[in-house]
Amino acid sequence: MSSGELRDLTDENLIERFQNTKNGACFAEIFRRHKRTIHRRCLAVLRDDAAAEDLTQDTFVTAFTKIDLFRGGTFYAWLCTIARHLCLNHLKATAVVRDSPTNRPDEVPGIAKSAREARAVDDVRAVLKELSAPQRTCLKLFYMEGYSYREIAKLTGRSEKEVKTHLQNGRRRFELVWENIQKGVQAP
Amino acid sequence: MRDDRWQDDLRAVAKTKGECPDTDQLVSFLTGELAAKDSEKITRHVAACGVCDALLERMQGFDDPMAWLDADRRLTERFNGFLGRLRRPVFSVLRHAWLAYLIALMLIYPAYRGLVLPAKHQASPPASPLPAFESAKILRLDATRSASVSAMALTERDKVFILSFFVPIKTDSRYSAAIEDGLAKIIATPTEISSYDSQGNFYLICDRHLFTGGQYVLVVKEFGRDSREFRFPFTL
Repeated sequence: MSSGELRDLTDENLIERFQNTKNGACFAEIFRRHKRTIHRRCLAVLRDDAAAEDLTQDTFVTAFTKIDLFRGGTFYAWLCTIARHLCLNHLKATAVVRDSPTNRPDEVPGIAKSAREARAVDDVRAVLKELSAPQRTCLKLFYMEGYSYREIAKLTGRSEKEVKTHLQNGRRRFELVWENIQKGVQAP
Repeated sequence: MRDDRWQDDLRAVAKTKGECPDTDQLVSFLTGELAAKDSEKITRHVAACGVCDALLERMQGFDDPMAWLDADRRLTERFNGFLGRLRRPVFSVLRHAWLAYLIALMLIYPAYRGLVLPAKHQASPPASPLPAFESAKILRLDATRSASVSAMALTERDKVFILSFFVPIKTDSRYSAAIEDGLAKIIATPTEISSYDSQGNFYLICDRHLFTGGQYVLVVKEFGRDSREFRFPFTL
């Protein structure tokens, strides 16, 4: 079958042919169609061209080797799911794993110790909702997890300068909203 | 005095986060494939976990066309920056005046060699095809040209003389020359000759002592398809 005829087929028809005949030209056509969009998506997440390139290749290699697991539906969505998994694993691998003060074994997760703490948790959650996403993330990583500027920069894909700016603005905003809430709560 | 209790409260929230969900759960959460109960559980965890929040925030770029454009822009900027770094050293070299002069001189010198020195060569006389026999007398036997001379007077000082003649040669033929005296006796045996200009002009250098004076004939034979013969009579 010529490449011109392959181009007229849908993704799903190509994959069906590939599953039945193992004809590499069918998968090559799929790769040609989607490599650019998958690469752009990976790049948008990782912000690193070399890593995005690697993960794009890995996505198609995984799809190629596990093609029998594809049970119909939209093939492109399946590709995206594979790429999401790979991106998330890559990000987790680059994140610094540490035993932060909040992860100690003597702590009982999910249970606050006192009524004051329970109220504080609600307050903090309410305040965090008032912050922008970058401010909230930087603040959590810095104060909750104890990450350094450099580690936060690495994990969030931002520069250290940007991290410092988000932390500074986030802290100012947090204090302001938190004090207002405290005053409101304490007022009779 | 600053109230830093909010930092303690933040840490208190972190204590409530529990175990981080695995990659499958996070991907399902992102694509909205989780049950409402599980989804809410992850939402509560993410609210208390900086790492998962950061991961999810970054993963949002996967489905955000604006993030794709931003990624493209970053790539373009980095590429332009790379080109800029390539260009900069080349032009920064020219900031050093002495280096610029050196480069200019290196470019000018070949031009000087090409333009000025050939003029000196032109001043010298054109090379003669027979530089060793400049003083020898030349007898022109070319009958096809009006300036032909068939007689020449030689003195005792002339050791050699030169016969100059023209033959309409063919490129695929060879030629030989011999000289006969008035009695058709060969006094100079046939010798293969070739035109010095490839146009049919020949010089033949002759030893004066072989010739006693009188009538002679230069016989040029062609060896080829036609085998022509050319005869040039001359008198000494």
